[in-house]
This record gives sequence, structure tokens and C-alpha cells, in this order.
Amino acid sequence: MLELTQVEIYYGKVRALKGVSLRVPEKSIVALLGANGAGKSTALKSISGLIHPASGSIRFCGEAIDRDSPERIVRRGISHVPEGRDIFPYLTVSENLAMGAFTRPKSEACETVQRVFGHFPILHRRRKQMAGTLSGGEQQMLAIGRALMARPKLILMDEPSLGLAPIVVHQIFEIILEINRAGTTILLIEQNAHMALQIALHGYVLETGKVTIEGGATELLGNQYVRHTYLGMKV
Amino acid sequence: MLIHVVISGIATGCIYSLMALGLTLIYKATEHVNFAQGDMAMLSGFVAFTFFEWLKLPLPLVFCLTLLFSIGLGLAMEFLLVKPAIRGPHFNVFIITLGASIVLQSASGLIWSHDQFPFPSLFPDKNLVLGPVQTDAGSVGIIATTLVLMLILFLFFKYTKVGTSLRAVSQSHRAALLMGVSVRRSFALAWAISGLVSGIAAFLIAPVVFLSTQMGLVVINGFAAAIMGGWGSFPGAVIGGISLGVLENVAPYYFPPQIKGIIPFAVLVGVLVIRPTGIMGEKRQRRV
Amino acid sequence: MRRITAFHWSIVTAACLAMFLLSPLVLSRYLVFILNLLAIYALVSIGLNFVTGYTGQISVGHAGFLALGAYFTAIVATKAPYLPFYVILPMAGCFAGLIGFLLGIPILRLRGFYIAMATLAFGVVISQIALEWRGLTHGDEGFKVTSAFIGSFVFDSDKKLFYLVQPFAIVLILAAHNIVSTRVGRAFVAVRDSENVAQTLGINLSWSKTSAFALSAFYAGFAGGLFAYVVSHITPDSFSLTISIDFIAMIVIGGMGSILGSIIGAVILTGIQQLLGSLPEIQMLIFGVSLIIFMIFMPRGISGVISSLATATRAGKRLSSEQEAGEKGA
Repeated sequence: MLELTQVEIYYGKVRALKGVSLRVPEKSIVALLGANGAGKSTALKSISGLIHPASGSIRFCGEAIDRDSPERIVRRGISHVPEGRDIFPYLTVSENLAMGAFTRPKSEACETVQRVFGHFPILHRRRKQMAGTLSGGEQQMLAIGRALMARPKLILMDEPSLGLAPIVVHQIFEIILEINRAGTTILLIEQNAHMALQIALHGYVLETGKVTIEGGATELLGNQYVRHTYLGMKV
Repeated sequence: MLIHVVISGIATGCIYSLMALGLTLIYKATEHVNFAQGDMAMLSGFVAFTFFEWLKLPLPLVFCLTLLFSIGLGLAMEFLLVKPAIRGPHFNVFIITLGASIVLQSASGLIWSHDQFPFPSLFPDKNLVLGPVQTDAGSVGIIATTLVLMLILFLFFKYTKVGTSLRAVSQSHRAALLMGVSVRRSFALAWAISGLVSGIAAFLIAPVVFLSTQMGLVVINGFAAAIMGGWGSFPGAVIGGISLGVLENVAPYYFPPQIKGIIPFAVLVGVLVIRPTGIMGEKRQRRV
Repeated sequence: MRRITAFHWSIVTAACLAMFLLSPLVLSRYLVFILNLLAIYALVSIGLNFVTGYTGQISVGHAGFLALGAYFTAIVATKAPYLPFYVILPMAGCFAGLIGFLLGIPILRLRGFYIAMATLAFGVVISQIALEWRGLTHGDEGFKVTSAFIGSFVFDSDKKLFYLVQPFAIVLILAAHNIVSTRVGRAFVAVRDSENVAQTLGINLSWSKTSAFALSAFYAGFAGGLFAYVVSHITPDSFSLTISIDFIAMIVIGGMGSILGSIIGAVILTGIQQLLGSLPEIQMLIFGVSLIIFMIFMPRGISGVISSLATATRAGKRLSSEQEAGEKGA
């Protein structure tokens, strides 16, 4: 469904992504792993249009999207849940969700909101509260819910577990699985490699801007180098 | 007698509030400061004057045409001045608007001269008696117009999709982009609305102080009002504006008359030194 | 290729300096007056650069410090006529600097925009006081300044004033150059580039910002004193908001954060002023348009363009190296 081919991205003179190629098959969950500064967020930003690649191509459902504006890309069906959640702190939960449906027809929003509240009942309880007053876990749920409002075919998630308590992380990952089962493809960046590989189908490891290892999730879980470097296990 | 003074003070304050609202709007949506806000009103005033005096068009038509012009002016300024400098520090845009202020003033001086011109008021020139209070139709008209405009703006921002998207843009550009909102269009819209507000302000200011190229200096009162009320806050802009207007009108009764000119500046420095967040204060913390 | 050494440069500089200092012998009185005015504006411009160019705090009220220095000088010269100018001028500078310091303490802890507004208000309040406090300043009638003197020699003509103004200007410019080359100057730049990082480097933020502000006020005040002697009759409208904006235009066009930039800016603006003096409207229009155009296309000003060209030429002479250093991202 999503295909990056030899994508090169520069921040000024610094080469952040060096010929990165990856594929996300439809209806799957793909994990993108790597240390800080490896280029994971950059890869996501290039997909959602926040940055444009210097060379290489990004194709979504067969069409090239590497020159599209973020607006166009949302309309094509890709939603991006950015790192740090980035919810609108002075809008209510409902208004945040409404913003998620910005590109969708008005009539649809009602039904989608119900679905989102179905995934996240707590958001329904807090729907009139200012989003900035929610806890970290609730904000993460809001961010994901907001992305769902656009009825995307593909969701990009940047470190959903960051800064959250383990119980909450578990909840979030359950919901990610739910969303995937309902038919949405997911590309997931995670530092918590263990959890990510539990739910993902495929995985890619990025190191200093290059893909160094790729394969099925179970393969990666068994890979010595991955176990040592990213899963914190003694070899 | 004092009530009469307070009411004119409120009316003057409403004008300051309008200036402050225009400034706050652009600041909240784009994080830029528009020093030329007052001069936009001045130019709109001169355009209205041209329609009225030279083309002899009826006042209601002049009003509508001028507002169209003001909106266009806001859009033009955003396109010519802000868009090219958008990648630089905010300081740059502030200086650019400083330059725009100078350009607008001198261009207007060249076209219409620096003389003062009488300007027709939207409201009849008569005194009103409301119960025990004696005031004039002009002041009441200004207050009423401002209230209506504020109500419309409030409804727009709170309940419309576009208005909410502007609020969203002011809180996070990145998140707004990811929702499919065009931040570019939002900027243009903010400037367009600000232009509209300054156009309306022109019709309220010019009849009172006479139309002249120096009319734009009212922006400084607008800044003082916005800072006093709490920079970055819409209710603050209104509260600050009205307080400043009342203060200015009442002070000459208790202090030497020269003080009137200094008041906005003294208030500005005073507020910044004592309580920079003003009355309503901006809630955002600085992220390190 | 013949190498141009430092020795060559110093000969050229000395020659230029000599020509400059002897110029009153050949130039008209009017042109000498212009050169005096230029020196004064260059000093204010350099001062403003300490605050804005180097420390990144914007001051829209520097005409206020100019006014403080000018009126201080005028008043003291009248009330204490036995004091020579070389005592009064530094006092004027210190007076302005002190006010700058006191103003800076509460104001500089605020964000940039607030500082701009506060300094704007300050500048206007000073010019209003100059206008209204007639007893002290003679209001809009203006204040006639007693001429400077050494012993029985009186500086009562523009050509004589040249030799009062320029030596001070040269000394102050060299001092400014020294300041920005030292630790103090580098601290200023660090503050501008990132206040947070500067703090982690152990730079005392408020001390840096306040001393930059006080220093710039000193320069403007000193220049104000010189201004008082040069125009010999000061009125409040020489210190209006418009003048403060002119100073900003100088550092924007000339280049912020650069002494050379301040001087270039002063030259260009004074030049425009004199060329278009009879057409004040067109002059203002050109100022405004220049401000906009420079901010959009050349935000680092003319001196910025010059230094970019210099760097590009030097870089072109070096071999280019592999650029794989420093990965950024994710």
C-alpha cells in the first residue's frame, strides 16, 4: 500500500535519510525501530508531507505522493499521529476530534465520533474538557482518536508509548490492534521495540538514516543483533 | 456629569478594543505582530473618504465598498509582506510591518496630503437621554457597533469549522497541518478579518478625531490596551481597551491636562514593569 | 599572485584616516556638518546594534536616549559653564547609560515583543517630557546650547566641531570593536542565538542583557551630547518616534550585529535624507520600502551580503570535503 524507494532527505546540508526503502502492505502493522536520531520521525514526516525528499519516491496505493502538501496527503487517506501527541491544548476534546474530521464531509462526523468513543470511552466522558488538562495517556488516546476521525486507510504513529505508564502502554497497544483488525493499516515508530514487534507483521531497523535490518516480526524478535541492541537482552 | 465622561471613555475604549482585537487576532493565528494595524484603518478611512467626497456615493454603499477594500488590504499585506518573510524569525515580520506603517503613511500623504479632513459619522449627531444619563448618539453607536462585531467574531471562532480551525492553527501549526488545514490560508484569513476590523474601526475613529495620515497612531493605544488586558487574550483586549479609554477620559479631571497624551505610554511601561501578563494574562508557559 | 598583507592594509587605513581628518580643509561647511551628523548617527546606530544586533532585544525608543544625552549636555553646559565638554559628554553618556540600566532591569526579562513596546513607550514619554516640561527643556521653543570650548578656543563653527566630534567618534568606534571581540561581545551573541544555551554556558543572562542595554544607552547619550553641540539648538521633534524608527532602519539596512553595518546604515540613511531633504514624503516612502525589501531579501543587511561574499570566495578556494558528518533526524 505504501512504498518508499531510495528516499533521501536533507536538513540543510545534513543527510538524515540515506536511500531508505520500505514497504507497508495493506492491512498490516509495520514497525520502524531504531535509536534516537536514527531518522524514524523524519521518515514519517516525509510520508505525511511535512518534509519533502530530495530524491527517491514515495508511493501510496500506486500514486506518487512525495511532492504533495500535507493537506493533500490527509485527503488521500494517510493520518499522522505526531511525536509528543501534539493535541490542541485549548480546544475541548470534542473540538479536537472535530478538527480531525476537517477534511471529511460534515454528515459523516457524527458516526465517526461514535466509533472513536467506542474505542476510547474515557474520551466520551471528558468530551467537554480542555485537551490540555488530560493526562498523558488520555492525550495519546485523543491523538489517535483524532487521527481516526479522518477515516484514514493508513495511520502513521510516532512513539505512542512515549512517557506513558506500562499499564497505559498496554491499553494503547490493545487499541492499536483493534484499529488494525477493523481494517486500518498502521506504520508504527517505537522505541519500545518489544511491544512493537509483538503486534507488528514486519519490522525495519533504521540506523543513522539507513535501513540495516528488515524482516518479519518474529524473525526480528529472534535476531541476535536486534535482541542485543534493541531488546536489551544478553546474547 | 461624570457618567457622561465615563460613557465617552467607554466609547473611546471600544475603538481601542477594536485595534487590540485586530492585533490579537493576527498574533494568535500567526504569532506575528502587526505594527501597521492602525495605518490599515487610516488607509481604509481615506478610501472611504474618496468614495464619499469625490465619487459622491451614498454612505451605506461607501461603508460596504470600504469594508471590501479593507479585507482586500489585509489579504494583500499578508501576501506581499508576511508570506515572503515567513521562514525567518518573527522579529523580521515586525520590522516589515513597521516599514509598511511608514509606507502607508507617506503614500497616503502623497495621494491625499497630510491635512485633516472631516469624516461623516454613521450615527446621527444628537444627544440622547437614557434615564438619568445624558450622552450622545455617537458614543452609543460606537459601543453598539463594537459589541455586535465582538459577538459576531465570538460566534465565528467558537462555532464555525473555519473559526475553530483558526484557533487550532494558533495552538499548533504542525498538528493543524496534519489535520489537513492549510496554514497558509489560515494566515490569509486572519489578516483578512483583521483588515475588516480595522476598516470598521476607521468609520468609528475618523468622525471623532478627523481623518488624517496620523490617524494610525491609535495602534499604540491598541497595543497598550492589549498588553494591559493581557497580550494574547481576546477578552483581555476588550477589557484593556475599555479600561484605557475610561482612564484617558477621566484622568484630565484629576490631573493636569497634559497627562492625557502620556497615559497610554505610561500604562504600557507601568504594566510591563509591574505585571507583564496584564489583567487576563496569557496562559502559555515558555517551553524551554 | 601578490599577497595583500596586513601591512598593506594598515598603510591604506592610515592614508584614508589622514584624508578624512584633513577633509574640512577642502569640503564645504555644509558637507562637514553632514559628516558630523553622520558620526553622531553612526554612534547611535552602533549602540543600537549592541542591543538589537548582538543581543537580539529590539529597542524602538533609542531617540529617547539621544534626547537624554542632548538635554543633559545642554542643561549642564548652561548651569555649569565652567565645565569643559570633555567632562560633560562622558557624564551625559553615563546619565543615559544609567537610565538605560534602570529601565533595562524590569524590562529585559520580558519577551522580545514586550521589550519593543516598552522601549517605544519610553522613547515617546521622553520626547513628551521634553515637550511639556518647559521649565527644564524650554519645550518646543528649543534649547540653545552654549558652545564647547578649550580654554579660550571656542568650537563655534561646523569645521571646528569636526575636530570635536570625529576624534570622539573614532575612539568610541574602536572601543565598540574591542568590546564585541572580547568575551563580553561573544556573550552578547550567545544570548541572541539562544538564551537557554547561553545560560547553560554560565553566562549570566540578565547581566549580559542589561549591560548591553546600558552600553547602548551610553553610546546614544554620548552621541546626544555631541548632537547638542553640533546643532546648537535642540528641539523635541529631533527625538521623535520617527527618529527611533530611522535608527532601526539604519541597522537593518546596514546589517545587524556588525559595527561596519551600523556605519554603512548611518551613511545610507543620512545620504537619502540629504538627497531627498526637499521631498520629505518621498524620503519616508523610500525608507519604508527599503525597510521592507531589506527585511525580506537581505535580512542581514549590506554588511551581511559583504561578509557572505567574502566567505564564499574563501570557501571556493578550499577543497570541498565529504559531508557525512553529524546525522540529524528521527
